[in-house]
Amino acid sequence: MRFTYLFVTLIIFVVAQISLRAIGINFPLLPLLIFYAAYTYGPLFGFGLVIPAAFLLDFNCGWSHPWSISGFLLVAGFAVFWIQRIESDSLLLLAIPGFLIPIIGDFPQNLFAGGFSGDNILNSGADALANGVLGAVLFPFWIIILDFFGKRLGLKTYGEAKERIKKENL
Amino acid sequence: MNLDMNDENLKGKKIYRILLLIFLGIILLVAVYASLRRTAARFSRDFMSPFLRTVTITENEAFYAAQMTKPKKQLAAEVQMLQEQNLVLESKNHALQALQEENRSLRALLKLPDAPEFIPVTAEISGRTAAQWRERFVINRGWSDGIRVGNAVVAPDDAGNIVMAGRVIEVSGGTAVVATVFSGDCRLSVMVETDKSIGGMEVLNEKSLPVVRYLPVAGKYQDHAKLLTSGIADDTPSGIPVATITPRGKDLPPEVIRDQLYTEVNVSPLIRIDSVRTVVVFTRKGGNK
Repeated sequence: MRFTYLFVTLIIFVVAQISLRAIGINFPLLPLLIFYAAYTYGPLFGFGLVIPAAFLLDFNCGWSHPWSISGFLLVAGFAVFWIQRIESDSLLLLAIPGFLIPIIGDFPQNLFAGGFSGDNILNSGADALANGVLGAVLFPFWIIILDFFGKRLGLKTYGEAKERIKKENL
Repeated sequence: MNLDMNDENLKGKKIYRILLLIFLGIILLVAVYASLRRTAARFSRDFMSPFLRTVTITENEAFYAAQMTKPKKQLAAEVQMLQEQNLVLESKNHALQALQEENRSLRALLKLPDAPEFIPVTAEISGRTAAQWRERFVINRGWSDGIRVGNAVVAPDDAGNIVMAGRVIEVSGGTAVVATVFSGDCRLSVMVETDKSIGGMEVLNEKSLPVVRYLPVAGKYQDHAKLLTSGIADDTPSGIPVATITPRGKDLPPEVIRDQLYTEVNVSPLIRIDSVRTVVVFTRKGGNK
């Protein structure tokens, strides 16, 4: 059921991100999903989503190579770090990964795809910062929505993930 | 102590084997990456094309619904204007078909090879990204619609005239990737309209405007002269407007002579690539040869 839920959510997020990109809005939705999967269901699900997400996103936008793998791997690794190191599971603290995920999950591939020219670095950097601010605001809402549907399907939620880790460590 | 040394030797051999396996894995990945990438790209695009087509259909439905808010009189006037335009275009097409038939029979008499025939296929842009907004996009037509690598892609400019947009560089069952005239992957053979000189248009540096190289030194080149496709390449119809020659400055000729052998001019493509939504792909009748 986890696999099906993640698969369906992946398709929806890919369609949404490609549609937004086609009208010039570059908000990275897939890194948020990868972070959620790695945090809630474990590193295997997070890292397992990286390659299909990168392939579906990049090749459907015309890129020759799946550059998004670079950013998505960083996001999955960040999720593993976040759940292991951060003690508090407050919803407001989600603003920190919400700010960082669009930056580390989208900036590297924009540099690889667009080139390392000054213009591209400035444009991609500005995009990343703007997306980071938007992500800091929207990320808690994404978690609530994904948890809502996950709970209805009888799956683990983001809020329960921290408790599970604490029990395993005890 | 002998047992400790044996353990260390075994551990060392294990690490050595793991490193060797990783190294071989990397070599194998590099060796198969090119074909793996092509296969993965085609599969990803074909897999997502039904979902993305739904988005395009929804956008079109929203556009039609917005059209219905216009007054009926205005809609009727627009329909009549389009019908008249269609009538004129059909008449021109009929005349062109007669010319084509005459051309075919004359070529047969002179024992010349057949001129290439093209079938236009309309397509919409289904995927695009800010990092390569002007260089590449994905369209929602592919192999099953007769599109092949190298096919010419055209789009309307601001005035509604057809101009060159780019070339198809990758194709899958239901999608294709187009490299625009601003991309280093798109090279065109072009002809100066006034002079009839032929050169090659290409982008030398990423994110810069294209240049036309290998024009004759003795040619006469004017500022803002139009460039058309030459038709030398079998997969591109001739006579499609591509770009205009960019002036270098006041009192300076537009051309630059390179190596005393050929002339180079900077050009500005006619296509307004930022706002293109619908394109036409010229497919070859009978497929590419």
